[in-house]
Amino acid sequence: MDDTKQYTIQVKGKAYKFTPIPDSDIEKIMMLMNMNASPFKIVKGLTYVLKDSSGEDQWDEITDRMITGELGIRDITVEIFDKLVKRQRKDQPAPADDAE
Amino acid sequence: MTLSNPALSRARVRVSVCGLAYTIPWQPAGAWIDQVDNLSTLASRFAAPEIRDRLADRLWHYPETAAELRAESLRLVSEATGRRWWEAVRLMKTSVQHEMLGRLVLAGVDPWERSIGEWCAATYATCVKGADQKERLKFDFRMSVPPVGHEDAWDDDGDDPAAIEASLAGLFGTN
Repeated sequence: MDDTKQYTIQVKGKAYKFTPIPDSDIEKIMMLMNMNASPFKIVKGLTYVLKDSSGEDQWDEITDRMITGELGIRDITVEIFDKLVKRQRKDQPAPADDAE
Repeated sequence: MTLSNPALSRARVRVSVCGLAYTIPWQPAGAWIDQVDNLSTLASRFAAPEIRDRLADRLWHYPETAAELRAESLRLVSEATGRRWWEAVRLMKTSVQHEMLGRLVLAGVDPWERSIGEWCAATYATCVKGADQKERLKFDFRMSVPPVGHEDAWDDDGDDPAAIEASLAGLFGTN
């Protein structure tokens, strides 16, 4: 994983920069969604990983926009997390075929 | 009352994930089939909301949570059906194919009344109905092969090697 890489993602008119999310954290979020956890727990989990990925200042701004209702859970899950994971995976090399 | 055949049971099932012990209520076959694509998290999906929340918290604090949840979920499938989990899943998936579902419905088997064990048994019986011994052996063999990544789970359950050899000989027509 290239930690220096940054992805710019626009959420309702404002662009934010995110660093790649570790695969283990992506798996945890996927598991949370798959295990039918409450939306509150999913947002809490996303906060853990996206705060690290965006940095404190940007995450504070995103949180403020959530508090005012400008951003909802869908914006965090689909517009940020899903897009970030898709772009991250696009950049990852495909696994090599098994060696003979 | 304790039943010797778990497929007939309507009792709650005990689950334990990372030290969190809880029970999940009996679910009709329809509920299991509805979740067949979410097998690895069944032990959470069938749990009460407050248990799901506690499992979600554990996911962040105990790295082994995901693996334990997966293992318990697969164990649940085996326990509820009295079969290896992959055999049960194959039967569940077979049961909802149009023709098979039609046969089961015409036979009066209601997925919202029956246990998943009973539903799988009815599906199996429908699959092998009218099959000769060789066809039945082939069907059983195909069912018993574990999915990729779970080959180690394929043990012989202490089967008699001579009986296995005779079965395989019958299956492949070498006797």
